Amino acid sequence: MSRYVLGVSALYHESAAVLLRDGVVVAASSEERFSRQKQDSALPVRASRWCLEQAGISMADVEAVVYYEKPLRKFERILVSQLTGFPSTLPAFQRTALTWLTDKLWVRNALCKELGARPSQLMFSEHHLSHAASAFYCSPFERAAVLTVDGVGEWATTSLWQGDEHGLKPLSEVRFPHSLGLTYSAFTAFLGFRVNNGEYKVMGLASYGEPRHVDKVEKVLQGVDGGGFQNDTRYVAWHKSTVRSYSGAFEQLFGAPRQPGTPLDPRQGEGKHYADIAASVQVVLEERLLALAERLHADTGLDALCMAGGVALNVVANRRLLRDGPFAHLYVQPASGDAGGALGAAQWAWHEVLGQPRVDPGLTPGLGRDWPDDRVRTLLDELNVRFDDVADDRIERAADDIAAGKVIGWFQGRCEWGPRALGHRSILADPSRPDMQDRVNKVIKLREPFRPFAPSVTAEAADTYFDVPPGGEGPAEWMTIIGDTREEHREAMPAITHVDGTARLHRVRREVNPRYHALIEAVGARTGRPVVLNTSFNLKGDPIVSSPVHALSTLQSCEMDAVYLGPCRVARGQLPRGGAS
Amino acid sequence: MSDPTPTPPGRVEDVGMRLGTLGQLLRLFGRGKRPWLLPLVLLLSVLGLVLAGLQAVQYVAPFIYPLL
Ligand SMILES: [Fe+2]
Repeated sequence: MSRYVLGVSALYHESAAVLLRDGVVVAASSEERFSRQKQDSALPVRASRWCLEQAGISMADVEAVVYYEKPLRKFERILVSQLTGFPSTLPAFQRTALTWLTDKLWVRNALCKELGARPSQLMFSEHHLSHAASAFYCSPFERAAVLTVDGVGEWATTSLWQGDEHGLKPLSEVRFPHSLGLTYSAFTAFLGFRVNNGEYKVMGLASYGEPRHVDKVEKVLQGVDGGGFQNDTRYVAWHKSTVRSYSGAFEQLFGAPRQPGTPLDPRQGEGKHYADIAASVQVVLEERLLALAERLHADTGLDALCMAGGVALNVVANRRLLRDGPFAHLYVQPASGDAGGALGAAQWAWHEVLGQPRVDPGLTPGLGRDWPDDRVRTLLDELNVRFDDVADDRIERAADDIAAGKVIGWFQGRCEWGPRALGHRSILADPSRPDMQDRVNKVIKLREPFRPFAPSVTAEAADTYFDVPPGGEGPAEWMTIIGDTREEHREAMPAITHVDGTARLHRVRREVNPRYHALIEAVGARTGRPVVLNTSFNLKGDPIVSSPVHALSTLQSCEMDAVYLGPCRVARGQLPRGGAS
Repeated sequence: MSDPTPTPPGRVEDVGMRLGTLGQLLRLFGRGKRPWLLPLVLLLSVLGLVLAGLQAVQYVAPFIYPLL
């Protein structure tokens, strides 16, 4: 009889639920894909129920419901920090007392009440242990060094581990308030972007700048002997405030912060100044990560590195680690943020508490909700939406559209696990058209013009067009590393090549996603390059679409030309007046 | 497949779990490392039970999360 473990992460960042059957992932989803609240942090009630439905079981069939961290230890850290900073922490203390006493302290109750778990089913992992477990147990390595880096968990903000046949062994950690993730977030806020959401914008902005302020950033974040780091707490405020992450001294060091929402041209004037700051913090982050990697390599003597935690989503740093660091192989758990904690919590319980041997967890890009072809057709009929049934030639039709310069929505198979669109819920276009970046940025995604799009390329052609450091092929399948667009192809693919010549490529293997692979090949047959521009299927501020209704609503709200919903092609003109939803 | 709809715990079970959580907190703080947190926890416990009884306050998503 099969055994089930449900992992849950919630209450801080993006919440998620993951169901393992005999150690293999059968269903995984963020709550936002159901609630339609971007980065929804509420308890993943709908995602959990869907996981159980997907497996055809009830909560009573689940052996363990595993929460991804220890709330009481987190509460302890918060109380200690606030008492240490008293009286300046008083306003923060009031908010803390309110949120914890009304909500966060009672996770055990909420898991029983909202999810239907029994108290005897509950287990609690630790925040960085969950990150580490997700990285190691999903990796292809039998033995590996593991590095987890984020804002903060209970106390740890960075943890070093060794994973092998005996499980995960903690080696060392850096504790709050010293934090690489919070440092990067403080600069994110200073540069006028939203914390927990705009960090990748800082990374994109950094490519326009020169690291002129490294010495200043190093005042905020210093390296220490042995590969560690520490923050000078005079410059930061995250340890004593719930609304500010940097101090007045920080502003004296870097000047006035950028006002959110104001125009930003990173090539000149004030915009260039902010780009220089972004470049500087990116360089310092990379240096600190390299030092940690050196330490971890020295401690373990292993040649493979696994990573998770929000900072592991810094794809630029990941390349630097692989290119300039001591490890020959790298694996980054694709849902490295806290959503991935649900996965790691479940894997920790399965392997380290229930004592089960390692298995291939079957992590594929599509672990979320599916919409069978017949249901899509029925739904479109019910919504009065006209469509072309392209079940037998969807690849050819979609390739024709892309080659003709159209922008299409590609809604095929199960929804993605993790923050990236990997060919299941993607907006696709031809990257060789000079106007395409502008068009998709301005009229579809409403993004900052300085941000490039990512390319999807067939694995067979990846080396022809892109240069990824040795060992980076695996991460490139999950868009967790960047490569260089080869010099001779940069001009031909402006929409997916960043200002510094890099691209966050998505390497697509036929065995992993045969339909998407076939589509890219078909595009290649028409354009001469098996490469498509791939961006997530959503509008600004929305989560990635998860149902055909969301997809139609997106088609209606922007200048996309058509969507491929399973076997159905719906063009803009086929939508009924007044909308489909 | 059996019914996935959760059966919420009863009032007594709910209060029992809350008391269990508070007990764990007291053990965590009283274990020699940070005994000076104990009075604060006791005060918060009383406050917490009152607030939980009133169910009047909604959680507000933080801008900066480390202290929330
Ligand atoms: Fe985390």
